[in-house]
Formats: sequence, structure tokens, C-alpha cells
Amino acid sequence: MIFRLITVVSVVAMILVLTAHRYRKTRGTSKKSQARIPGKGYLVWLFQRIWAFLKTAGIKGWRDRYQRWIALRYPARDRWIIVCLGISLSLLAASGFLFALLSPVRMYGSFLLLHITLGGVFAVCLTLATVFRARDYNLDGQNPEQARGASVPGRKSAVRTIQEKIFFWIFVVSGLSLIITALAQMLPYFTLNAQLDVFEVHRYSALVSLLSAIAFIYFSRIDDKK
Amino acid sequence: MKHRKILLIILIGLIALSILDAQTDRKIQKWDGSLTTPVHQIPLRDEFDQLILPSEPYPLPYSTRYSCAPCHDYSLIQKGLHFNAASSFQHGRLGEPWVWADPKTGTILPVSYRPWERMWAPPQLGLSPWDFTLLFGRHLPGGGVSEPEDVITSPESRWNVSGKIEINCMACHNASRMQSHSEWAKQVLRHNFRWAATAASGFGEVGGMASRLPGTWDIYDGPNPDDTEWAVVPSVRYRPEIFDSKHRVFFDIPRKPDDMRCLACHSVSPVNAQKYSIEEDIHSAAGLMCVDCHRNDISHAMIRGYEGETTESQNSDTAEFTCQGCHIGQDLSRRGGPSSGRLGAPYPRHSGIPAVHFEKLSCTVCHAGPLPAKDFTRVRTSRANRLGIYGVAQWFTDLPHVIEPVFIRDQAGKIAPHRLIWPAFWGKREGEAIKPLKPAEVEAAAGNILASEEHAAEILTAFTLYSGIEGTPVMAADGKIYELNVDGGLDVSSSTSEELHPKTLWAIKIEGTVKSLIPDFDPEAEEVDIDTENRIHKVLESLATVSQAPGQPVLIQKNAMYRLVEGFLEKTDAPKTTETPQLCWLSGDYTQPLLSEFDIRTVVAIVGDEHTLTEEQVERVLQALSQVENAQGPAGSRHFFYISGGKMFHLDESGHLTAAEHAAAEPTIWPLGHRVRPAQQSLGINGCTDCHTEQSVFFFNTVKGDGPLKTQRIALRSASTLMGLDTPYQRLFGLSFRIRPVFKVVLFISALVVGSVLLIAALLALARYSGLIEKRRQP
Repeated sequence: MIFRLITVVSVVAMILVLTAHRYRKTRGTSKKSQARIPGKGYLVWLFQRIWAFLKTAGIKGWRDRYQRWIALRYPARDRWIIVCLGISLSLLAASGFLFALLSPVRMYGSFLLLHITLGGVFAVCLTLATVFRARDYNLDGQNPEQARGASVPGRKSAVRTIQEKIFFWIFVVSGLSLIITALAQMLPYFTLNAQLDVFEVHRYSALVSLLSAIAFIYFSRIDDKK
Repeated sequence: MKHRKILLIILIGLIALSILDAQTDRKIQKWDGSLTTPVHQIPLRDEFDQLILPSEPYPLPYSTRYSCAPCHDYSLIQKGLHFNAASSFQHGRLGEPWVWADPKTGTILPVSYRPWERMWAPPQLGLSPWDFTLLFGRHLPGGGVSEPEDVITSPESRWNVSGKIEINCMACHNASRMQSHSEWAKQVLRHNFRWAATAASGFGEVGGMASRLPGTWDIYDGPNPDDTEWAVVPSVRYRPEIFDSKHRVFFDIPRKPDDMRCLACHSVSPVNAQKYSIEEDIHSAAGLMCVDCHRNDISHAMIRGYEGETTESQNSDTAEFTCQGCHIGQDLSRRGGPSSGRLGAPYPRHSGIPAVHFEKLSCTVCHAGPLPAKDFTRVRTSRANRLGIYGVAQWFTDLPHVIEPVFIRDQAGKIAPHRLIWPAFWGKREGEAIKPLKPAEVEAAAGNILASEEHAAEILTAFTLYSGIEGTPVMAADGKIYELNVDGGLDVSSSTSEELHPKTLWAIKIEGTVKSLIPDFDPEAEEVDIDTENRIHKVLESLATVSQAPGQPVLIQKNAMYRLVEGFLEKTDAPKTTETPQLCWLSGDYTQPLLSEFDIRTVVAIVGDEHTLTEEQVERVLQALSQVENAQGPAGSRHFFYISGGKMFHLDESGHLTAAEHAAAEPTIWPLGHRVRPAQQSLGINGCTDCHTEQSVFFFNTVKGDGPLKTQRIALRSASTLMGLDTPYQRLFGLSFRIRPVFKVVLFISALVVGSVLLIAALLALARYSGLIEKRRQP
């Protein structure tokens, strides 16, 4: 019950904070007004954005998004890793949180089989993404592109924001936690009680992973050119 | 003012009465706190509450109601689990039914007064309490329906002769090795109901049979001095040495009843297992007794020990005596601490078993009953197969065929191991309503159709007892030899004799060699061999003793017929010619063989086989039942059927046997709790693949319909269907375990790589924060 509450509250809070941040950024409001809670204008803007998103939710819309979010941003070698990572994470979150929030019993049956299979894909993609992209999110000053004076296509500059970097590493850490806890539940070394503890870590890691992924995507796109 | 006084008096009276009542209760029930067991040196009292003096000429049997009642509340005990099947409103989860099994008619009817699924209530079958007691009294503990308040409960009942079966306290509580379950069963079958407890306890010897007494006899009539051989009135001869000078008897009653007393009615053993090879339940082996978990107070509301009993019985104590209650405890937060569970019962670690198993499976799936195998384990149970009754005759029965473990969801929705029997019975269908027929009704309509083995046995008995021929008379058919067994039935063995003519039916076995009963001879010869003539004479003479023979016994050889006329062998012309000597019945001018082709076919098909009926017999009996029904009036929409092996058999429009599915043919199940195996022998101890493979017997075994009918038309139920699981998914899931090791390696490598990158990143950040890297870069 506590997990359900924390999940719902944290996801809603994350969405509200990010959309409010985007709203202010879009309006270019003063720092003074930024301190206030967004009002009616925010809600109108939010519905407009949702409507705009839904209107472009077709194949063409996603193709455009792929171009803007993936193709222009990542080298050809990394694109499919990012796509697979994104899809596997989305499906894992959907199957996992569906049971966690709506079902009184633990995940079982076809959902479990799907979840486990996607978990393997996620683990491989996360590993490759970490190996290939870690240096771009070096917390220590410039990333290689920035050092070369290059720019990220479609972006004002090659600078990775500190938020982007932080959420990237949070995502990697929570992803590692997910892999280890999934593996631990498959090994015959943990007692039932230990497994239950591991399971708790797994689900909270999943929540952190989801939130950090959302935040990462947001902050990696916030400075994109219109 | 006057009314007030009256009201006050009534009030005071009521209070006084309630106090008195409470005090009376306290006197009977209140336990003083001592853990010792009182010495039960008590006087025996009969059913008239009179002291029993063993030296009296005709002492009555002792009555538990009056002998035990001064200290124990008999009326409260009557509401206990073992006695309240017909009177309780709470029945809990499914339990073992009584099984009305009749091999001759192929009847296997699960019966229970408790309204459990797929069990017939005795009134539905036309069974009165009297019938029920006669059928199952052998394993009843008395009380309940066998102790009716009104002695005239049905026309055929003879309660006034037999007496009622009071609760037999000593059946459970007697620690003496004199307590005899066999004696109990014997007395019940003799209708010696009121004497059974005395005989079984070993307090006295009981003679006579109430079943032979006229229905008008009453206990007040006493013994009949005119008949000391046949209709002997039951009487007790107490063992004088057990009485002290105050006429008191020592009841050897321990604090906890011995397991042997429970096992008298609750034994379960695999068929064909050797006694020495049977392993005990792990709890028994560890020194626990049945009643350590299956506890009760004076109410005798036994704790059954299943999950959910607390809700059903509204007794919170029951939760402590489930598997979880004992091994984990009620407080799950303690998590295996030193005080978890009862008496430090081993705390289960369940390493590597995903938690979903504990939500979907009961503990007994992995820990109780035999391990699942390709073939289910056939077991016999005390109550279903009449175990634990010893005597010259064989008491236990092959029917019903009980199998275990069959995994099915229980009432709580968890998968649990069950025992299973397939019902088999004759019945009448009127629209959707089903009415089983009693075996006696079927036998009456079937006539000789169900008596093929009996016919053969009767002829062999005649040869054995009256022919005086050296050797063992046998029947030879289909390359096999059939001979009489001690129970009056037939045993089969393969024939090794090559001398026997294929058409020879009756033979004699001498030292393993089988020869024709009547040797081949030439009737045209001037003088027939004297030995042969003597043999013919003896055989025909013995056949004349067969009861209800359809004619006079004759022997036909070629074109001659021999028969006995006034004790002498007479030869006449035969109405037909034969190749070998043939024994027949002659009725008028018509001859028929001793055993019909139908009887021979039936004997060949069923003797030595676990089935007791052939399809041909079923077809004929159904025809016979229809004829009887038609003779009584228009049959209308009534149809007769026979259920066996999960199928309902009935006659189609052309009069042939056809089989169909029907809900009434579905198997009867009840959960099993024992034998509990140690953790090292539990299912899953070898890993996930104990169950999760694409060929797993746990998920993909098939339960085959079984019954008295020898047929290929049986029901098949897959294990996953019985469990309510999706078979293709389980196969896929099982298959996934083939690649799981690879999957684990992938996860391990991923974790290693990601972890290493994170470690390097963290170390780099630390190094830069501490200035180590910059220092190195700057020369």
C-alpha cells in the first residue's frame, strides 16, 4: 500500500514539477513569478500541450520524434541501443507497475514471462548504453563533443546540463540495482524473507529508474531548438 | 405491588437457576490445571444407568453414555467433529467420503452426510441411518446417526433388537492393546450394536448375533433358552479379573490418545507396498502424535489444521495448528526468530523459491503425499477399502481405486494435492435429475447377467466338494486356467498344458498338469473304460448338487448322451454331436452347456482383472432395467445409465451402448494432508525443474478415468486443466527454464560491466575531487 502511494504521488509530482518548469521556460516568466505556483494559464497551456501531443501521436509524429530525439542526437551505433532501452523500459514499467498498483497478487503468468524477457533486453541495452555513453555524461566538466567544440545537432550547444548528467547516473545506478535484484531472485541462495526484501528493493529501484528516465528525457530536450 | 413481587421472585429464580446450571457445568467440565491424567477406575453402568455386576447371570454391555457421563458431558461430545456429520451446520473443507462399494454391480458411490461437492447424501440414495450404520458402522466411532433419538427411523431398521451405537469413547481413548477394531467391525456386522464397545474394548467376550433374532425381540426379553445354536441372543461374559471389589474397572486412558487409535480409521497406504517399506509422516517420526496438532477440548471439535479453518470454525486457536502456524508462527514480522512457530518447529528458509509460490500453492503441494510421478499412486484408505479388520476372510477391498496426488485448486483457490476416486453407479435419469440405483435394485433386474463368475465358481465348487476326483477341478478357457479361491471366487493362471483340447472347458489339475475332466473316449466301443465310466458318474452326481440348475446334468460325447437315472448311468442318443466330451444341462429335449458363451466370455474378461464388468454386461443390464421399467408402466422420459471411468453409458436408439460426458461422472476429490515428507524430500528440492519443464508430470500428467467397467471409453483430464492453468503457457514457461542459465549469465555480465563503469566513474570523480588526477596531469 505504501509503495502504491509513493509511486502515484512521486510520478504525479514529477510530472507536475517538470511541466511547470517547462511552462515557465516557455513563457519566459520572471524569477519572481516563477516562485509562485502556476495558475490557470498553466492548466490551459498543459491541456494545449497534451492535445498537441495527441495530435502527433501517429506514426508520422513518432518518426519525427525519432529524428529529433534519437537520430540527430546519437551516432548511428548507439541509436538502436537507445531505442531498445526506451522500449524495454516502457514495457517493463507498464507490466511491473500494472501489477504493483492494480493487482493484489504478485506478478505471474504471461506478464511475468514478458517481464523477465524484457528484463534481459533492458540489462543488455543498459550495459551497452553505459559503456558507450558514459563519457558524454562525465560529471567532471566538459564532455568530449564539447571539448572538440562540436555541437549536438538540433541543439543550441553540445553542453550536457548538470541535471542531464545527474539523472543519467541515477538511471544507471537504479538500473544496476534492478539487474542485481532480478538476478538475486533467480538464484537459490536467498531465503524467502531475503527474497521479499530484495523484491522491495527491486520495485523501489524500478520507481527511481522510471522517474530518473523521465527527468533525463526532459532535461536532455529542454534546450533543444524549436 | 403484587406484580412487582412476582416479577422479583421470577427474577431471583432465574438467577438462581443460571448459577446452579453454571455450577453444574463447572462440576463436569472445569479443569483444575493439573497436567496429570486421572486414573479411570470407574464402575461400569449399563444403558439403564444400572451398575454392572459381572457375576450376574445376564449382565448387559456397558454404556459409555452412563459410565463416562458423571464426569464428561456426553451431550456436548455428541456435537464433536466425529459425530456431527448429520447435525452440524459447519462442515469446513472437503473431507474423505464414505464409499459404498459393491464389486458385483460395479457400484462406487461417494457418500457423506456433509453437503460436500460430488458426494451423495444418504437420503438421496435411499439410505436410512440404519442402512448407513450397517454399511459403514465398521469404521464409525458411534454416536451421530448410529445413535438415533427415535428407534423407528425406517421400516427395515431393527434398533430395538440391535440397540443403538453409543459413542465408543474407548475406540479413540483406550491405550490398552486389547482394544480391537476387528472385534468392533465384527459385532457391528452381527447387528450387536449395543455390545460392540464392550467386545472391542476387551472388557468382556460377546457371543450371539442380534441379526438372527426376530424383529420383535427386545433387550427386556433376555436370552432364549430354547435356541442355543442359531438365533442366540447376544450376551457378555465380562473378564472377572478386571473388576475390583467395588465392581470398578480400570480404563487405561492416557492424556493423549495413541496414534494407533486414529490410524484404525485413518490409515492410507499405497497398494502393493510392503509394510516394512512404508515411511512414517515426518512429524510422527519426530515423535509428535496425531493429537499434538489435531487437538480438541471436551467439545471434541477437532482441529483439522487447514488454512482458513479459523474463519470457518470461528476458533482462533486453529490458526496455530496449520503448517504455517506451527512452522512460521502467527507473527510474520518475527521472521524466523528463536520463538517463531510452536515448540521451535523448524523455520522454513525456502531459499530460491519465488514468493508467488506461497500465494498460489498450499504447503502440502511440495511437502505431503507421494512425489508426483508419471503414474499416480494408488492407495487404499481405512474407510474406503475397509482396512484394519483382521480375520480368516479378506476384509479389505480392491474397490474403490483411490489415487493421489492429484493437484487441484482447493476452496481457498490454492493448488493442493488431493485424493481422487471416479464414481461408478447405475442410475435413472429423468430430465436433468439423476437418481442412483441401489446395488440390490440392479441385481434384482440384472438376474444372471452379473453372475457369470458365480456360475463358474458354483460348478467348480460342486466338482471340488462332491465328485471325489483326485486333483483340483479347474475351468480352462482362452489359454488360461480358472480355479476356486478361498473366498468362493476364481483365480486365474496361465495354462501350461498342451494336451488339453481347445474346446475342453472343464479340467482337472494334478501336480501342475491339466487334463480334461472327462477323458476322451469312444462311446461306440463295446465296453467303455470303467474308470471313465466312474468319472462320468461322479461328475454328473456332483453337478446334481448345483442349486437352481436349469436342468439335469448330462454328458454328450459324439452322438451319445449319458445321464443318471435312479443313480445309474444311462446312455441314450444325443440330440447333437460333439468332438470332445461336453457337460450340459438337459431341460426337456433342449440341452445347454454348463456355462453359457456369455458367461465364459465374461469370466475370461474380468477374472484376474481389476475390472468387474464388461461392456456386454452393462448393455444387457441396461436393457433389463428398461424392460423392468416398461413392465411397470410407460417409461416416458426416464433413461437408465451406468457411470464408470468418468463417462455415462446408456443405450442409444439402436440399443447399443454409447458413452457421453456428464457432470455426475466427474471424479470426487478431497485434499490430503499426510504423509508429510522432510524438507530434503520436498518437491522442488532439486530446483525449479522439479516442476517447470515442458514435460513436467506436475503440470502435464493425465488423470485417466477408472472404474469397474472394462472399457476403452474413459475420461481424460490433464493436470493443468484440473488446476485451472493454461497448458500452452505452462509449456512455454517450462521451456524458458532451458535458457534460464544463459539468462542468468547475461544478467551477471551486465551487472558486472555496469557496476565496473559506475565504480570507475565514481573513482574518477573522487580522484578529481581530491586533486589526484589534475596533479598527475600537471608535470
